[in-house]
Amino acid sequence: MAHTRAWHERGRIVTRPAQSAAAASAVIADRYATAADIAAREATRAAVMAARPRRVQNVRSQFVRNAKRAARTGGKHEQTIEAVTFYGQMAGIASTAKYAAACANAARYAADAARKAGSARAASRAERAARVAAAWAEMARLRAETSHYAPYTATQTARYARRAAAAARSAARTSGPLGLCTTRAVGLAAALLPPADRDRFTEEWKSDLWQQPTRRARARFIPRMLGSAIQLAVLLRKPASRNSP
Amino acid sequence: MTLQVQLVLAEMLNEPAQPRYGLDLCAATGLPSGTIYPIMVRLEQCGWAESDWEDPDVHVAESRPRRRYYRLTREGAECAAEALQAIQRTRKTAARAWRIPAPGTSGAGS
Repeated sequence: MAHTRAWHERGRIVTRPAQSAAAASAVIADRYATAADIAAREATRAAVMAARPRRVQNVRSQFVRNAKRAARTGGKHEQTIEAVTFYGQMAGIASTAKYAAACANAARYAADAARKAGSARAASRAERAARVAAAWAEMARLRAETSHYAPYTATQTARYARRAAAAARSAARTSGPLGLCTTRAVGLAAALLPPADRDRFTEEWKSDLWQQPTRRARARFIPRMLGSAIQLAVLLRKPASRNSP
Repeated sequence: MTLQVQLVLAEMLNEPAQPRYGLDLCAATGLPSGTIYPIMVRLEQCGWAESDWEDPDVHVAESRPRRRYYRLTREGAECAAEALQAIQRTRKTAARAWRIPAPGTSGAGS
């Protein structure tokens, strides 16, 4: 019986068609991770607005006195203020809660997609981070609803939202149809680059690796990718002063 | 300008409006995959090329990771065409000076 497949494919695993579902899930995980990133950035911006130093002067003297006493004695204190007077801060807390909840949701979806794409550990981590971010978001929402001035809660909520986004990004990075060694090689190559360019080239290399039909082709691709990463690491750190390539 | 950059530019100048992705350029130019990205980054840094991510609908529909597409800018295409012509002229002059027969013609003595 004549073989219909090329000699280099005979008897070897051609992984691309079988793992296209995993690739699709990895793409979805990446999209949700990007959404989580954006939401976390907005939550941080809102938290800065909630705790903006130059607005602290608006706080009534009795609250300042209570806060100072609490700081001195180590006791607890809570500031209850009217939303009308301190609109900026309260809106900041409410926005932090809203964006942190959105970030937690996006991180949870990213974790789901990453799990489908075969990255169980990173997905669990992202899920845990999303749960924590959601709990802080809920607390911030309650504070905003009851007009409790809580800049610490807002700051912490934004912080945990950022952590959830980072965990989602990590889950998206490690997911996909590529094996552990290949994923690590891509991670190593990306680690050489400046932080601003890592995501871009990680995705480009993953896309290229995904298009390689066999494991052998992928194995051949990896040393070239690492060599290219070294060149790129130098090139991307240089100021762009050349007029011609 | 290195020979590899010339190859990439010549390939992209064939269809300047057509966006190309990394592996596509590798296949078209015959260059190894590790060479293409540094070249494309250099072209981007000097403003001859620009890059953009693929439309999400396309790659999600095809169930594959998204690609980054590169294309020459208008200014880049003009500069690249000029540069390649200048190199071609230099090559011809050098070939004449060294009496190297042009490809496809017989030697000077025949």
